[in-house]
Amino acid sequence: MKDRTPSECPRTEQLSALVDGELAGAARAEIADHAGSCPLCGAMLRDLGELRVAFRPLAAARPGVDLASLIEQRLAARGRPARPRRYGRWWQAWQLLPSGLAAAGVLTAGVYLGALLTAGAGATALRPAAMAMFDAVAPGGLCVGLPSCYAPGK
Amino acid sequence: MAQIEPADGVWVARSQQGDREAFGMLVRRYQDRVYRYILRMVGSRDEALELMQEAFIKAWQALPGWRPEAQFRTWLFSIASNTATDSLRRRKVVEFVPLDEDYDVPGEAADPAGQLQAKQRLRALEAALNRLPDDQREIVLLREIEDMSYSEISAALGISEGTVKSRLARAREALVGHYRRKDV
Repeated sequence: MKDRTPSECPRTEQLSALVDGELAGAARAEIADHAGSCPLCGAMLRDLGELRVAFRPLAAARPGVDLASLIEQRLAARGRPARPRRYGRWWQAWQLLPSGLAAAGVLTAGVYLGALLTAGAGATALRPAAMAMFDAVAPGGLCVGLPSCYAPGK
Repeated sequence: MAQIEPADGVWVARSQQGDREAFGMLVRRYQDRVYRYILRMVGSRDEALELMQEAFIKAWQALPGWRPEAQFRTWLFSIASNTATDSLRRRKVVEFVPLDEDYDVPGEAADPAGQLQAKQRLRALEAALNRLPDDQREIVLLREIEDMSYSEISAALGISEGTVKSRLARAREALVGHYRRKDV
């Protein structure tokens, strides 16, 4: 195998995978060969191996109590695990009902108001009392001679 | 002749029917593993005991959703991982828990000096482990302590195998660097 320069050395990722036995045949042989001849990678590979050994005592930790009976008691209060509900399409459609009704209401109101504006039928503009001052005869004024002032219903 | 223990799938199937004793068997089978994983994640014995119970109760509730194609162990660890991560997210600070004084370091020298050195080495490792980001620490624990393969870790944590590989390498690099600096 061709010797690599330090910049061509495999990344720790490859050495780490080698330690774990997670490299496929050809890659495994190549990285192992390189680590055998490269002082940097050889040292890293040794360190990674030692790290694996150093972790072993941590696997000895135990809770010191049997929690199974305690958990069983807590579960007794909860009952049987619930099966996840499987809703059909009809249920999904029903879930859309409230928003559908709201949308329909808004649409109807919009159409009604639009019709009032465009057709004008039935829509009587309110005449504010303040506008009375612009009448032919101002409020409280005397109508002099205009027949329309004395028309019936005035 | 030793009696062969039924596979996880048998206990899980019975637990899905509401058999609490069957679930109790699963708890006994996995409580040590789940405990030490959560303990190293959260760094507190009392909290680990509480979170372990929480994880098993969540597993019980989620049992109807379990499918036989999934490995029970990785499925359970995904729940344990979420439980531990949620707890860490809530409090943000990890309390460092040293080993108990009477803790025996297996496989090490019988003489007191050798034992002491082994304990110091172990404490240094714990300290280095606690300095890792949560997402790196959980991968290291599943690989080094639970001996899971990359594909099992990938299934347990819901990440790709490539991410497992790179994150694990970064975590190990950091741990080795810490070890070298400490010269333990």
